[in-house]
Amino acid sequence: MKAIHWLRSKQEENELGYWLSFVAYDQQDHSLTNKIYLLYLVIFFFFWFMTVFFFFAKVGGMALSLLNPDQAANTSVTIIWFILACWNLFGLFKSSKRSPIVFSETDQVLVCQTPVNRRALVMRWLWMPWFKNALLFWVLALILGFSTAELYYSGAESTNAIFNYVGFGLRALLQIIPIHLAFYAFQWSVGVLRLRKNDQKNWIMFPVIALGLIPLGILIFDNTFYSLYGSTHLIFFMNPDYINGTASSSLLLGSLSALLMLVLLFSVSRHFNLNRAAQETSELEFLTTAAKYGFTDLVEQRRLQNRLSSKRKFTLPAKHKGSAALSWKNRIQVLRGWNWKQLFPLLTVFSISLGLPLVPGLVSKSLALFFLVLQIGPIMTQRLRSDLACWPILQQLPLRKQQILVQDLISSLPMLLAAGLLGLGFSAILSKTVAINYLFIMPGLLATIACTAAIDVLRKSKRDLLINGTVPSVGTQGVILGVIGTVIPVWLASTFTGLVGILFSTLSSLVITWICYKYAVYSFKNIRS
Amino acid sequence: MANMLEVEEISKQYDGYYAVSPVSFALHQAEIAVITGPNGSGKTTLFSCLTGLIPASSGTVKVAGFDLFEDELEVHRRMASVPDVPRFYTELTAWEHLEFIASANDVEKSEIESRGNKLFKDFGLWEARSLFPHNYSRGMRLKLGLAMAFIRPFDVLLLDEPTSALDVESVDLLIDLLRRFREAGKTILLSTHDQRLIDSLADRRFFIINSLIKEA
Repeated sequence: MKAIHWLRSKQEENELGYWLSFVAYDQQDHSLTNKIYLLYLVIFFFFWFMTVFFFFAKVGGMALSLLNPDQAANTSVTIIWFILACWNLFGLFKSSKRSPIVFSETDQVLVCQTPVNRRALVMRWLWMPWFKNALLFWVLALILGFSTAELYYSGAESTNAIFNYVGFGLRALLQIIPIHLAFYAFQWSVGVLRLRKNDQKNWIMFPVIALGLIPLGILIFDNTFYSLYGSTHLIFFMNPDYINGTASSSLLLGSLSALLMLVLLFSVSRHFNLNRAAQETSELEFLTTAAKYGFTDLVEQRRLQNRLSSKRKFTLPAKHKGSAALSWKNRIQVLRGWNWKQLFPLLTVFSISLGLPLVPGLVSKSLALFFLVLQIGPIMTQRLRSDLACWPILQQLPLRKQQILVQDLISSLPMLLAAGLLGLGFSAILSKTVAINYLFIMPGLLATIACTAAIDVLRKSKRDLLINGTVPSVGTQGVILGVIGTVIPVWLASTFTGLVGILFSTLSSLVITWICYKYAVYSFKNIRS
Repeated sequence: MANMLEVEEISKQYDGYYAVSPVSFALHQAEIAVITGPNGSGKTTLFSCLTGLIPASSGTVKVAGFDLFEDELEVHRRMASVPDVPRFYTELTAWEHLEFIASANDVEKSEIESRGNKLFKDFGLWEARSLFPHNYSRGMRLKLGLAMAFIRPFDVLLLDEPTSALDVESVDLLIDLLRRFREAGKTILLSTHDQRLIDSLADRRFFIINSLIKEA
C-alpha cells in the first residue's frame, strides 16, 4: 500500500503542479525567491477573491432581495440545496453507468493488477477528485454567504463589516463541506457497489436514481420551496442560522452524515473490481488528460473514432480515377466527420457576410474579418491536415501537389460560400441595397482565407513529424496573413462605388487569391525536414 | 538487365550526426534485396529517404531512370512502399482505403474488385473489410498496408519490416506473393529481421550497422 500511496501522491503533486503552472509557479524550485513568489500569489489571490466575492455579493444580494427579502438566508439555503440535489442526481446516474473512480491506462497496469487492499485504495483515491469537484460548490457557498451578508450590512464601510461578510461566507462554507462530502461519498459507494467482484450490477441505477430523487422531491413538493423560504424538512441540515452564528447543530449533522457515508464507502469497497473500473474509465482519463494538455486534435480524433465505430455508416461508390479519387475520399470524410459543432463556422460566415456591408469604417470591418479568418481558417484546412497526417499515403499518390491542394481546400468551400451568399442576401433585405461589390469578392475572400491558412500549416509542417502524424494547426501568422489578404478587397469594395468598385475589388481579390495559392503550392512542394 | 533502383551517395544527417552514412547501390529488374541490421541502425531512416518521406541530406535516388527529387510524380507512379507503421484515414474503412489508392493510381473498377477481394481474402481481412483501421490489430493494419501497396501498379516495391507483426501463415503468403512479383519482373527492397524471409527471398543482402551499409 506504501507504493500505491506514493504513486497517488505523485499524481496529486502533478495535478497541483499543472494548475500552479498557470500562475508560473514552479513546484520544483525551492529557492527563496520562489517562496516569496508563492507568498505573493497567496496574498494576491486572497485579495482578488475577496474583490470578486464582494462584487458578486452586490449582484447576489440584489437577486436575493428580489426573491425573498425577509428570509434571505433561507433562500440561500434553498438554492444551495436545489443545486446540490440536482448535482447529486446526475452524479448518481453517472456512477451507476460508469465507475466514478477513474484509472489511467498506466494505473490499469501498475495498480489494478496488484493485490492491493481495495478499501485502502478507494479511500486513498477519493480525496483529489472530491476536492476538484467540491471547489465549485465552495465558491458558490461563499458567494451566497456574502450575498446574504450584503442584505444585512449593505452600505457599511467599516472594517467590522468586512469581517461580518467573511464570517457569513465561512459559515456557509463550513456547512457545505461535510454535506458535499456525504453526497460525493455516497455516489462513490454506488459506483463501487455496481462493480463488486465479477458482477456488474447495472440494475442498481433504478433504486439509486429513486433515492437521489428524494431530496429533490422534498424540495419541489414541499410548498415552502415555491415561496423560497427554504424547505422545512431539510433545513436542519443546512441551518440558515449562520446569520446569527448558531449553526453548530447542522454542522454536526452534516459531519455525521459525511462520516456515515465514508463508512459506507469503506465497507462496500472490499471486493471492488479494479480491472472493470479501469476498463470503463481509462479512455475517459486519456481524453481528459489529452484535452488538459492541449492535444485537441488527438481528442477530436479519438472522439471521431468512437463515433464512427458506434454508428451505422453510409458510403459513396468509388467511381472516380486520378485526382477525382481524392475528391471522393474528401466527400466521405466530410460526410462522416460531420457534427453539430461545424454549424458554428457556417453561422460565423453567415453573420459576418450579413454585417460586412452594413458596418461602417475599415476598423470594424477588419475586426469582423479577423473573426471570420479565425473561425474558418481551421475548417478550410481540415482535409489538408488530414492528408498531411497520412503522409506516407499522400507522398505515394501519383498526383501533383497543385491537384491535392485544390481538392483539399475546395472541399469545404461550397457550404461556406452558400452561407456567405445567404448572409449577403439577408443584408440586402435589411438594408434594401444589394452589395454587389461584396457578392463578387466573396468567393475570393474565402479562397484567400483557405490559402493563407494552408500556407501557415505547410510552412510549419516538418516531414520528420508528418511521418508520425503530427501536423501543425493554423496559427497567428496564418490569421494575420488571412486578415491582410481579405482587408484589401473589402476596403476597395467599400471605398469605391459602381463599376469601378466592382472591378477594383474583384480584381484585387483574384490577384491576392492567386498569389496566396501559388505560395501555398510552393510551401507544399518544399516542406522542411 | 536494367537498373530499376539506383541509389547514389544517399545520406541523412541530424545535427551533424549521420543517421545514414553515404551509401550507393543499384538493384536490377526482378531482383529482391534485403537489408538487415540491429534496432536503431538507420534502416527506417534509409527507407524514408528512398521513398521521399523525408529528404536526404545528400545523394540521389532514381527509379526506372527517374530522379526522386526532380521527377517525383513519375517515381511515385512506379514505386510502392509500406512503412513499418502504416497510417490510415480515420473516416475511411479498410476497403475504402484500398479503393482510394487503386482509383488514384487509375486501376480499373473491375480489377479493384477482383484483385482486392483476393488480397483481402488471402490476408484474412475479408470479414473485417468494412471496419475502420483503428478497430484493427497491429498485424491487420500491416496487412492492410501491404494490400494497399499490392493493389496498385508498380515496378519497385519498398517494404520496411513487413513481417514485424504478421502471423506465420501471413508470412508464408507474403513470401509467395513477393516471389510472384519477382517473377513478374518487379524489383523489391525490404528490411527485415525475419531469417525465414531472408533465406527464402534474398538475391542480395545488405547489412547496416551504426548507419554504415555493406553488402554481404
